Amino acid sequence: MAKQSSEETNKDQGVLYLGIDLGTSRTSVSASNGVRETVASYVGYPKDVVARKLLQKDVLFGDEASEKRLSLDFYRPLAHGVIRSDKDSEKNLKAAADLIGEIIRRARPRRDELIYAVIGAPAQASINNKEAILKAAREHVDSVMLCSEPFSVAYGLDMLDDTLVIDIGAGTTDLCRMHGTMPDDADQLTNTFAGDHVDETLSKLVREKHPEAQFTVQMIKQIKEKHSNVADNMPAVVVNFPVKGKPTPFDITDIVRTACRSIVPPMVEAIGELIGTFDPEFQDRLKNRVLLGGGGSQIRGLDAELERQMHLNLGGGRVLKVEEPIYGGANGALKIAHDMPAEYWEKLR
Amino acid sequence: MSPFQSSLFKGSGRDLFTPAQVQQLMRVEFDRAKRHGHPLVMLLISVDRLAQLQDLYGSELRDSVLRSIAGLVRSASRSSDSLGCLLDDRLLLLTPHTPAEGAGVLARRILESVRALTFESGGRPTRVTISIGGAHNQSGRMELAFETLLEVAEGGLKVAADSGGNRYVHSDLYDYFEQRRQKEKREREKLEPQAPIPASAERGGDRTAERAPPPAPLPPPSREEPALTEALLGAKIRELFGLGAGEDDMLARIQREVVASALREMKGELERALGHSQSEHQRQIDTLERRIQKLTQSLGMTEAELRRALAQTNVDPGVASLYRTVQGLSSADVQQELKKELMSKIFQANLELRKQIVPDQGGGA
Repeated sequence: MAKQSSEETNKDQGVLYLGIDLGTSRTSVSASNGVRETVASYVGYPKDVVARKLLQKDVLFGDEASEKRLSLDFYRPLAHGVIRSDKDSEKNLKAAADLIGEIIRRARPRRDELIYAVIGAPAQASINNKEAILKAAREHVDSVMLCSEPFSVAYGLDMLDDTLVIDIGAGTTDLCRMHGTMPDDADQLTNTFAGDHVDETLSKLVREKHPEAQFTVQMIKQIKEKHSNVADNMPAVVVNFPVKGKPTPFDITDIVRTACRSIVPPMVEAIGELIGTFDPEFQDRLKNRVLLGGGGSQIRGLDAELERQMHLNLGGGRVLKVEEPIYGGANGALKIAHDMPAEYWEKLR
Repeated sequence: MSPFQSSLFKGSGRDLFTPAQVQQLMRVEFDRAKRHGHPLVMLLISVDRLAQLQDLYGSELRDSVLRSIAGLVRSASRSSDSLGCLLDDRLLLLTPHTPAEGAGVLARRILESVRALTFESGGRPTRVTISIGGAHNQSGRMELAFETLLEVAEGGLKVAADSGGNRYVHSDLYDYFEQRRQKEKREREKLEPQAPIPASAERGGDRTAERAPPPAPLPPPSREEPALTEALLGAKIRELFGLGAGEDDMLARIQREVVASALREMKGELERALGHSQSEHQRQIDTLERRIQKLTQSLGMTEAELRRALAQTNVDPGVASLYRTVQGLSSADVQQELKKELMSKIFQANLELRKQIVPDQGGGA
């Protein structure tokens, strides 16, 4: 077991560390009690008294909220990696706070334990966003810190030196250059060619090619999660869409491939930019340690396609995939929480 | 005083009179009735099976029922009538200038109105009935008192309630006291299995009397008892039995038997008084036991509700962390120095963020 960094901070209670990945699509937690949970980042509140009586709950989360969204004031509080600040900003802030509370509750903390949490937040998050996240978390934990999402992925895998982390989320793709120190703004790039972009492209292409087909964004998202692939020889994707109420099969193999590939060129461009501005002596090393994480890394063949594009545009490269894309960020945040000296936690209480 | 009574006696308008006020008003009304010779009727009203109703549906429904019935009686009576509430949740209505027949009409109207009342309890309609005992002051030469009329009305109420309730029983003063006298006589006879040997039976050799045990020895006369009383008693016995001067033994025996009979009568009275007191205490004990039972039942229900609420909230005891203490970087980590620096930078960034959010607080740094 690790050595104590400060004997005087020993507590009678146990200490529960939480690593939280607050994502646009999914929010995940890894805890030092062995619990790992993930929930879709959806929050719903019953629209009226009737819905409240029917649902027997004041607030619903995740897939349950998505399934019953017709009876709910439905929120997806995060967009492009940050809390939405549109016309419903207040409500989105509340929904995000409730979501954080829910994911902490799902970590099943004991009442007699101290809870220290590290939350992976996008580097681009505004002060208001970070304040909202901290405020929401403080209601449930004893001490909380924020850290950059791609950094937490790299830290979790002990790849702190000469590594290019690509965290493909739903709202954003974050690229972070690790070179043995804390990454600064110049080491990080973010674009919005991520999961939601694939959904939009897929919807647009299906609508163009099969205008008679009826579908929703949720249906498209489910198709993507099941069939996403960028390989030339990918399996056929035949799905049923209702046409005037009748389920009708459609072959959308090419459409799925095209939509999934739509995020590759911007990603390669960003990789090229980060590599091109890196110390020339270490550029090859960086190119050969590209770490692919996040939910988007589950697109089949994406690592190979990236390598192919890097070979064409950058003269080569090697892409690794994290073993647990859903929990990569949360695991890294948990490791940071665990390694953080006690006095730091105390000072931020 | 129950919450129901408290709520009735409070407030303005035509609120009910308190028991003390009712007694005061009653005396005033008696004086007036006596002076002017007008009739006056007292109705004593109680809700049938009120205790069971409270046990089943709780005190809220009980108070609601009593309040509704009080309101109904008030609206059915005249403004000059006096309505009060006794301490045992019975209503007392005093209606001056009302003959016995008129009281019957009023009582039946109240009975019908109460039968039509419906109370909601647990989503189900509940109906109640009442019993009414009535008494009036037109009973010839008797000198009435509030307690007397109340006792007569209580007698009528008891008959009405014991007959199944939902009825009105009007008791005549003379009939009531005659019945009570006969009842007391029967009770006295029950208490006296060893009947005194009447003089006539002694003389006539009655077989029943022969089988009876010998009379108990007479107690010695009290020292304080005046000798004059004994002499008067002897004279009276001589006069009644026609005893001559030579029949002193017979006189002494009869005198002893008379004294013994008087003592037995006094003992009987004492026992009746004690019995009444005991039954009153027993009634109070029964009420308290019922209340305890109800509270125990209520406590059990509350505990069950709490357990159910606790289960419904899905209170999770949680899963214990692997760590009892704050950990920190391991000295065995080959990248300890690098990670130490990274941790420091993350901390500094968060400290800076805290300062930006709350400028006045330095984050404890």
